[in-house]
Amino acid sequence: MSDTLPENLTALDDRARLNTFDGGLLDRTPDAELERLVARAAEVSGFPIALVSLVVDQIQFFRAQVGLPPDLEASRATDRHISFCQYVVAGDQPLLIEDATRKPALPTELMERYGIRAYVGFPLHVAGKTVGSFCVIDVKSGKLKPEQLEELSKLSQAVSARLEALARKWAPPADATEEKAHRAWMAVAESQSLMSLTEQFAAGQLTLEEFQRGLGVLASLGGSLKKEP
Amino acid sequence: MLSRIQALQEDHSRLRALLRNCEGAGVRDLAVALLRLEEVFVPHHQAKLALYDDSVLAFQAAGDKTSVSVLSIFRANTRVMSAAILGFLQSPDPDPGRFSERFSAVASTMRSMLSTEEKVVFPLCTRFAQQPRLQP
Repeated sequence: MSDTLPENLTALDDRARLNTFDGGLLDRTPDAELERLVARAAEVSGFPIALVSLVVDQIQFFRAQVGLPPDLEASRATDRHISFCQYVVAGDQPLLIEDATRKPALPTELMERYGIRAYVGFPLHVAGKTVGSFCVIDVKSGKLKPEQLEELSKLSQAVSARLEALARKWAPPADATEEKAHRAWMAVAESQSLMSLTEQFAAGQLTLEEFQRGLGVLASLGGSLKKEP
Repeated sequence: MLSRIQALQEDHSRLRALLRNCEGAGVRDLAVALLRLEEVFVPHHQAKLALYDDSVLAFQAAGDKTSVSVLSIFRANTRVMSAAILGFLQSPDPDPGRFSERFSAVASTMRSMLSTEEKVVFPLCTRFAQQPRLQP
Protein backbone atom coordinates (compact mmCIF):
# COMPACT_ATOMS: atom_id res chain seq x y z
CA MET A 1 0.00 0.00 0.00
CA SER A 2 1.53 3.29 -1.11
CA ASP A 3 0.55 6.92 -0.98
CA THR A 4 3.12 7.85 -3.63
CA LEU A 5 2.00 8.58 -7.17
CA PRO A 6 4.02 6.86 -9.91
CA GLU A 7 5.73 9.35 -12.21
CA ASN A 8 5.97 7.04 -15.19
CA LEU A 9 2.54 6.61 -16.80
CA THR A 10 3.68 4.94 -20.03
CA ALA A 11 2.15 1.60 -19.01
CA LEU A 12 -1.29 3.16 -19.61
CA ASP A 13 -0.68 3.26 -23.37
CA ASP A 14 0.83 -0.19 -23.68
CA ARG A 15 -0.88 -1.67 -26.75
CA ALA A 16 -1.00 -5.18 -25.31
CA ARG A 17 -2.77 -3.80 -22.23
CA LEU A 18 -5.29 -1.89 -24.35
CA ASN A 19 -5.91 -4.95 -26.52
CA THR A 20 -7.24 -6.69 -23.41
CA PHE A 21 -10.42 -4.59 -23.53
CA ASP A 22 -13.22 -6.11 -25.52
CA GLY A 23 -16.98 -6.46 -25.43
CA GLY A 24 -17.28 -8.31 -22.15
CA LEU A 25 -15.24 -5.73 -20.27
CA LEU A 26 -16.65 -2.59 -21.88
CA ASP A 27 -20.24 -3.82 -21.93
CA ARG A 28 -22.56 -1.32 -20.21
CA THR A 29 -25.01 -3.98 -19.06
CA PRO A 30 -24.80 -4.25 -15.26
CA ASP A 31 -23.09 -7.38 -13.99
CA ALA A 32 -24.70 -8.71 -10.83
CA GLU A 33 -21.48 -10.09 -9.36
CA LEU A 34 -19.54 -6.85 -9.88
CA GLU A 35 -22.47 -4.84 -8.50
CA ARG A 36 -22.45 -7.03 -5.40
CA LEU A 37 -18.70 -6.53 -4.94
CA VAL A 38 -18.84 -2.73 -5.16
CA ALA A 39 -21.76 -2.65 -2.73
CA ARG A 40 -19.71 -4.77 -0.33
CA ALA A 41 -16.68 -2.47 -0.75
CA ALA A 42 -18.76 0.56 0.20
CA GLU A 43 -20.08 -1.32 3.22
CA VAL A 44 -16.63 -2.48 4.35
CA SER A 45 -14.98 0.92 3.94
CA GLY A 46 -17.85 3.15 5.01
CA PHE A 47 -17.01 5.32 1.98
CA PRO A 48 -20.06 6.30 -0.09
CA ILE A 49 -18.58 5.56 -3.53
CA ALA A 50 -17.11 2.27 -4.76
CA LEU A 51 -16.11 1.53 -8.34
CA VAL A 52 -14.76 -1.05 -10.72
CA SER A 53 -12.96 1.45 -12.92
CA LEU A 54 -11.43 0.21 -16.17
CA VAL A 55 -8.71 2.56 -17.34
CA VAL A 56 -9.04 2.42 -21.12
CA ASP A 57 -7.52 4.46 -23.96
CA GLN A 58 -9.20 7.85 -23.49
CA ILE A 59 -11.48 7.30 -20.51
CA GLN A 60 -11.87 5.48 -17.25
CA PHE A 61 -15.05 3.42 -17.58
CA PHE A 62 -17.01 2.48 -14.48
CA ARG A 63 -17.93 -1.14 -15.16
CA ALA A 64 -19.69 -1.26 -11.82
CA GLN A 65 -20.45 1.50 -9.36
CA VAL A 66 -22.29 2.54 -6.26
CA GLY A 67 -22.77 6.06 -4.95
CA LEU A 68 -21.93 8.16 -8.02
CA PRO A 69 -23.71 11.49 -8.65
CA PRO A 70 -26.38 11.38 -11.41
CA ASP A 71 -24.22 12.71 -14.24
CA LEU A 72 -21.41 10.21 -13.62
CA GLU A 73 -23.95 7.46 -13.10
CA ALA A 74 -25.26 8.30 -16.58
CA SER A 75 -21.93 8.55 -18.41
CA ARG A 76 -20.14 6.00 -16.22
CA ALA A 77 -16.87 7.56 -17.31
CA THR A 78 -14.46 10.44 -17.06
CA ASP A 79 -11.46 11.38 -19.14
CA ARG A 80 -8.57 9.10 -18.26
CA HIS A 81 -6.08 11.85 -17.65
CA ILE A 82 -8.09 13.41 -14.81
CA SER A 83 -8.64 10.09 -13.01
CA PHE A 84 -7.00 8.91 -9.80
CA CYS A 85 -7.32 5.30 -11.01
CA GLN A 86 -4.73 5.87 -13.76
CA TYR A 87 -2.03 5.94 -11.03
CA VAL A 88 -3.12 2.57 -9.66
CA VAL A 89 -2.84 1.10 -13.15
CA ALA A 90 0.42 2.82 -14.06
CA GLY A 91 2.07 1.79 -10.78
CA ASP A 92 0.33 -1.61 -10.59
CA GLN A 93 0.04 -1.27 -6.86
CA PRO A 94 -2.55 -0.17 -4.32
CA LEU A 95 -2.85 3.56 -3.79
CA LEU A 96 -4.01 5.28 -0.63
CA ILE A 97 -4.92 8.97 -0.59
CA GLU A 98 -6.20 10.34 2.70
CA ASP A 99 -6.72 13.88 1.49
CA ALA A 100 -6.41 14.63 -2.21
CA THR A 101 -6.08 18.35 -1.59
CA ARG A 102 -2.69 17.63 0.01
CA LYS A 103 -1.40 15.91 -3.12
CA PRO A 104 -0.51 18.70 -5.54
CA ALA A 105 0.50 16.21 -8.25
CA LEU A 106 -3.07 14.86 -8.51
CA PRO A 107 -5.39 16.22 -11.22
CA THR A 108 -7.79 18.68 -9.60
CA GLU A 109 -10.91 18.30 -11.82
CA LEU A 110 -12.61 15.60 -9.74
CA MET A 111 -11.85 17.40 -6.51
CA GLU A 112 -13.25 20.65 -7.84
CA ARG A 113 -16.35 19.27 -9.56
CA TYR A 114 -17.32 16.47 -7.18
CA GLY A 115 -15.44 17.26 -3.96
CA ILE A 116 -13.44 14.01 -4.01
CA ARG A 117 -11.04 13.82 -1.05
CA ALA A 118 -10.19 10.28 0.10
CA TYR A 119 -9.34 7.45 -2.31
CA VAL A 120 -8.19 3.87 -1.87
CA GLY A 121 -7.62 1.78 -5.01
CA PHE A 122 -6.39 -1.73 -5.75
CA PRO A 123 -5.13 -2.83 -9.18
CA LEU A 124 -7.32 -5.13 -11.26
CA HIS A 125 -5.78 -7.70 -13.58
CA VAL A 126 -6.99 -9.51 -16.68
CA ALA A 127 -4.79 -11.81 -18.74
CA GLY A 128 -1.75 -10.63 -16.83
CA LYS A 129 -2.39 -6.97 -17.64
CA THR A 130 -3.42 -4.23 -15.23
CA VAL A 131 -6.75 -3.03 -16.55
CA GLY A 132 -8.19 -0.88 -13.83
CA SER A 133 -8.74 -0.08 -10.20
CA PHE A 134 -11.18 -1.36 -7.60
CA CYS A 135 -11.59 1.71 -5.48
CA VAL A 136 -13.54 3.38 -2.72
CA ILE A 137 -13.94 7.14 -2.56
CA ASP A 138 -15.14 9.69 -0.03
CA VAL A 139 -15.94 13.38 -0.27
CA LYS A 140 -14.22 13.98 3.05
CA SER A 141 -10.68 13.06 4.00
CA GLY A 142 -10.32 9.71 5.68
CA LYS A 143 -8.16 6.73 6.46
CA LEU A 144 -9.10 3.05 6.55
CA LYS A 145 -8.01 0.53 9.17
CA PRO A 146 -5.65 -2.34 8.24
CA GLU A 147 -8.46 -4.90 8.50
CA GLN A 148 -10.64 -2.84 6.14
CA LEU A 149 -7.78 -2.63 3.64
CA GLU A 150 -7.23 -6.37 3.92
CA GLU A 151 -10.90 -7.04 3.18
CA LEU A 152 -10.88 -4.66 0.20
CA SER A 153 -7.78 -6.38 -1.15
CA LYS A 154 -9.59 -9.73 -1.03
CA LEU A 155 -12.62 -8.22 -2.77
CA SER A 156 -10.36 -6.81 -5.50
CA GLN A 157 -9.13 -10.32 -6.25
CA ALA A 158 -12.72 -11.46 -6.66
CA VAL A 159 -13.32 -8.52 -9.03
CA SER A 160 -10.28 -9.47 -11.12
CA ALA A 161 -11.51 -13.06 -11.31
CA ARG A 162 -14.93 -11.89 -12.50
CA LEU A 163 -13.41 -9.55 -15.11
CA GLU A 164 -11.18 -12.38 -16.31
CA ALA A 165 -14.29 -14.51 -16.86
CA LEU A 166 -16.07 -11.67 -18.71
CA ALA A 167 -13.06 -11.04 -20.96
CA ARG A 168 -12.49 -14.67 -21.90
CA LYS A 169 -14.84 -14.68 -24.88
CA TRP A 170 -12.56 -13.13 -27.52
CA ALA A 171 -8.84 -13.54 -28.12
CA PRO A 172 -6.76 -10.36 -28.38
CA PRO A 173 -6.12 -8.99 -31.92
CA ALA A 174 -3.89 -11.35 -33.88
CA ASP A 175 -2.62 -9.03 -36.63
CA ALA A 176 -2.60 -5.43 -37.84
CA THR A 177 -6.06 -5.65 -39.45
CA GLU A 178 -7.64 -7.02 -36.28
CA GLU A 179 -5.84 -4.43 -34.18
CA LYS A 180 -7.10 -1.60 -36.39
CA ALA A 181 -10.62 -2.99 -36.13
CA HIS A 182 -10.24 -3.29 -32.37
CA ARG A 183 -9.11 0.33 -32.02
CA ALA A 184 -12.02 1.51 -34.15
CA TRP A 185 -14.45 -0.45 -32.01
CA MET A 186 -12.91 0.90 -28.79
CA ALA A 187 -13.55 4.45 -30.02
CA VAL A 188 -17.24 3.53 -30.38
CA ALA A 189 -17.31 1.85 -26.96
CA GLU A 190 -15.72 4.89 -25.33
CA SER A 191 -18.07 7.31 -27.11
CA GLN A 192 -21.03 5.46 -25.54
CA SER A 193 -20.40 7.41 -22.35
CA LEU A 194 -21.40 10.57 -24.22
CA MET A 195 -24.34 8.73 -25.72
CA SER A 196 -25.62 7.59 -22.36
CA LEU A 197 -25.28 11.05 -20.85
CA THR A 198 -27.11 12.60 -23.82
CA GLU A 199 -29.91 9.99 -23.62
CA GLN A 200 -30.57 10.79 -19.98
CA PHE A 201 -30.60 14.52 -20.67
CA ALA A 202 -32.98 14.01 -23.59
CA ALA A 203 -35.24 11.93 -21.35
CA GLY A 204 -35.33 14.71 -18.75
CA GLN A 205 -33.42 12.65 -16.17
CA LEU A 206 -30.53 15.12 -16.00
CA THR A 207 -30.67 18.89 -15.74
CA LEU A 208 -28.67 20.99 -18.20
CA GLU A 209 -26.23 21.76 -15.35
CA GLU A 210 -25.73 18.05 -14.59
CA PHE A 211 -25.38 17.31 -18.30
CA GLN A 212 -22.74 20.02 -18.66
CA ARG A 213 -20.85 18.83 -15.57
CA GLY A 214 -20.78 15.25 -16.87
CA LEU A 215 -19.53 16.49 -20.24
CA GLY A 216 -16.93 18.62 -18.51
CA VAL A 217 -15.09 15.55 -17.21
CA LEU A 218 -15.24 13.96 -20.67
CA ALA A 219 -13.91 17.00 -22.49
CA SER A 220 -10.82 15.27 -23.88
CA LEU A 221 -12.79 12.39 -25.38
CA GLY A 222 -14.08 14.68 -28.13
CA GLY A 223 -10.64 16.02 -28.89
CA SER A 224 -9.25 12.53 -29.33
CA LEU A 225 -11.45 11.81 -32.34
CA LYS A 226 -10.54 14.42 -34.89
CA LYS A 227 -11.53 12.61 -38.03
CA GLU A 228 -14.74 13.96 -39.57
CA PRO A 229 -16.97 11.93 -41.88
CA MET B 1 -35.10 25.38 -41.95
CA LEU B 2 -38.25 23.28 -41.65
CA SER B 3 -37.61 21.53 -44.95
CA ARG B 4 -34.05 20.73 -43.87
CA ILE B 5 -35.30 19.20 -40.61
CA GLN B 6 -37.84 17.16 -42.55
CA ALA B 7 -35.13 15.92 -44.91
CA LEU B 8 -32.96 14.92 -41.95
CA GLN B 9 -35.86 13.06 -40.38
CA GLU B 10 -36.35 11.16 -43.62
CA ASP B 11 -32.65 10.30 -43.53
CA HIS B 12 -33.19 8.95 -40.02
CA SER B 13 -35.81 6.52 -41.30
CA ARG B 14 -33.46 5.45 -44.08
CA LEU B 15 -30.56 4.98 -41.66
CA ARG B 16 -32.71 2.86 -39.33
CA ALA B 17 -33.68 0.64 -42.26
CA LEU B 18 -30.03 0.35 -43.33
CA LEU B 19 -29.02 -0.60 -39.80
CA ARG B 20 -31.61 -3.38 -39.84
CA ASN B 21 -30.20 -4.54 -43.19
CA CYS B 22 -26.69 -4.70 -41.73
CA GLU B 23 -27.91 -6.61 -38.68
CA GLY B 24 -29.72 -9.13 -40.88
CA ALA B 25 -27.04 -9.46 -43.58
CA GLY B 26 -25.11 -12.69 -44.00
CA VAL B 27 -21.33 -12.74 -44.32
CA ARG B 28 -21.54 -12.42 -48.12
CA ASP B 29 -23.85 -9.39 -48.14
CA LEU B 30 -22.44 -7.55 -45.16
CA ALA B 31 -19.78 -5.51 -46.99
CA VAL B 32 -22.38 -4.10 -49.40
CA ALA B 33 -24.82 -3.39 -46.56
CA LEU B 34 -22.12 -1.51 -44.62
CA LEU B 35 -21.16 0.48 -47.69
CA ARG B 36 -24.79 1.53 -48.24
CA LEU B 37 -25.04 2.61 -44.63
CA GLU B 38 -21.87 4.68 -44.95
CA GLU B 39 -23.05 6.24 -48.24
CA VAL B 40 -26.16 7.62 -46.53
CA PHE B 41 -24.54 8.35 -43.19
CA VAL B 42 -21.72 10.60 -44.43
CA PRO B 43 -23.78 13.20 -46.34
CA HIS B 44 -26.47 13.05 -43.65
CA HIS B 45 -23.90 13.89 -41.00
CA GLN B 46 -22.59 16.80 -43.06
CA ALA B 47 -26.09 18.16 -43.63
CA LYS B 48 -26.82 17.87 -39.94
CA LEU B 49 -23.68 19.73 -38.92
CA ALA B 50 -24.62 22.51 -41.34
CA LEU B 51 -28.05 22.74 -39.68
CA TYR B 52 -26.42 22.85 -36.24
CA ASP B 53 -24.08 25.64 -37.37
CA ASP B 54 -26.90 27.73 -38.81
CA SER B 55 -29.14 27.11 -35.81
CA VAL B 56 -26.46 28.10 -33.31
CA LEU B 57 -25.96 31.36 -35.20
CA ALA B 58 -29.70 31.98 -35.29
CA PHE B 59 -30.16 31.33 -31.57
CA GLN B 60 -27.15 33.49 -30.81
CA ALA B 61 -28.69 36.33 -32.82
CA ALA B 62 -31.92 35.86 -30.86
CA GLY B 63 -30.04 35.94 -27.55
CA ASP B 64 -31.21 32.47 -26.52
CA LYS B 65 -28.17 31.30 -24.56
CA THR B 66 -29.69 28.07 -23.25
CA SER B 67 -30.54 26.83 -26.73
CA VAL B 68 -27.07 27.81 -27.95
CA SER B 69 -25.56 25.71 -25.12
CA VAL B 70 -27.76 22.71 -25.86
CA LEU B 71 -27.13 22.83 -29.62
CA SER B 72 -23.40 23.32 -29.13
CA ILE B 73 -23.24 20.27 -26.87
CA PHE B 74 -25.22 18.13 -29.32
CA ARG B 75 -23.07 19.34 -32.21
CA ALA B 76 -19.88 18.36 -30.35
CA ASN B 77 -21.29 14.97 -29.31
CA THR B 78 -22.53 14.26 -32.83
CA ARG B 79 -19.05 14.93 -34.16
CA VAL B 80 -17.45 12.52 -31.67
CA MET B 81 -19.95 9.71 -32.08
CA SER B 82 -20.14 10.03 -35.87
CA ALA B 83 -16.35 9.94 -36.18
CA ALA B 84 -16.27 6.79 -34.05
CA ILE B 85 -19.05 5.15 -36.07
CA LEU B 86 -17.40 6.00 -39.37
CA GLY B 87 -14.04 4.66 -38.14
CA PHE B 88 -15.75 1.39 -37.27
CA LEU B 89 -17.51 1.11 -40.65
CA GLN B 90 -14.21 1.69 -42.42
CA SER B 91 -12.26 -0.89 -40.38
CA PRO B 92 -14.53 -3.94 -40.11
CA ASP B 93 -13.29 -6.82 -38.01
CA PRO B 94 -12.41 -9.86 -40.16
CA ASP B 95 -13.95 -12.24 -37.58
CA PRO B 96 -17.70 -12.37 -38.38
CA GLY B 97 -18.77 -13.35 -34.86
CA ARG B 98 -16.78 -10.61 -33.23
CA PHE B 99 -17.85 -8.09 -35.87
CA SER B 100 -21.48 -8.90 -35.28
CA GLU B 101 -21.16 -8.46 -31.52
CA ARG B 102 -19.34 -5.17 -31.92
CA PHE B 103 -21.77 -3.95 -34.57
CA SER B 104 -24.59 -4.18 -32.05
CA ALA B 105 -22.80 -1.48 -29.99
CA VAL B 106 -22.41 0.65 -33.10
CA ALA B 107 -26.06 0.23 -34.08
CA SER B 108 -27.16 1.11 -30.58
CA THR B 109 -24.95 4.23 -30.62
CA MET B 110 -26.36 5.36 -33.95
CA ARG B 111 -29.98 4.70 -32.94
CA SER B 112 -29.45 6.60 -29.71
CA MET B 113 -27.95 9.53 -31.59
CA LEU B 114 -30.92 9.66 -33.96
CA SER B 115 -33.51 9.40 -31.24
CA THR B 116 -31.96 12.00 -28.91
CA GLU B 117 -31.76 14.44 -31.81
CA GLU B 118 -35.43 13.82 -32.57
CA LYS B 119 -36.31 14.43 -28.92
CA VAL B 120 -34.21 17.55 -28.34
CA VAL B 121 -32.64 19.15 -31.40
CA PHE B 122 -35.34 18.87 -34.06
CA PRO B 123 -38.15 20.22 -31.82
CA LEU B 124 -35.89 23.08 -30.76
CA CYS B 125 -35.09 24.01 -34.37
CA THR B 126 -38.70 23.49 -35.47
CA ARG B 127 -40.06 25.79 -32.78
CA PHE B 128 -37.52 28.39 -33.75
CA ALA B 129 -38.27 28.10 -37.45
CA GLN B 130 -41.98 28.59 -36.80
CA GLN B 131 -41.28 32.07 -35.44
CA PRO B 132 -41.05 33.90 -38.81
CA ARG B 133 -39.22 37.00 -37.66
CA LEU B 134 -36.50 35.03 -35.90
CA GLN B 135 -35.85 32.58 -38.70
CA PRO B 136 -32.27 32.72 -40.04
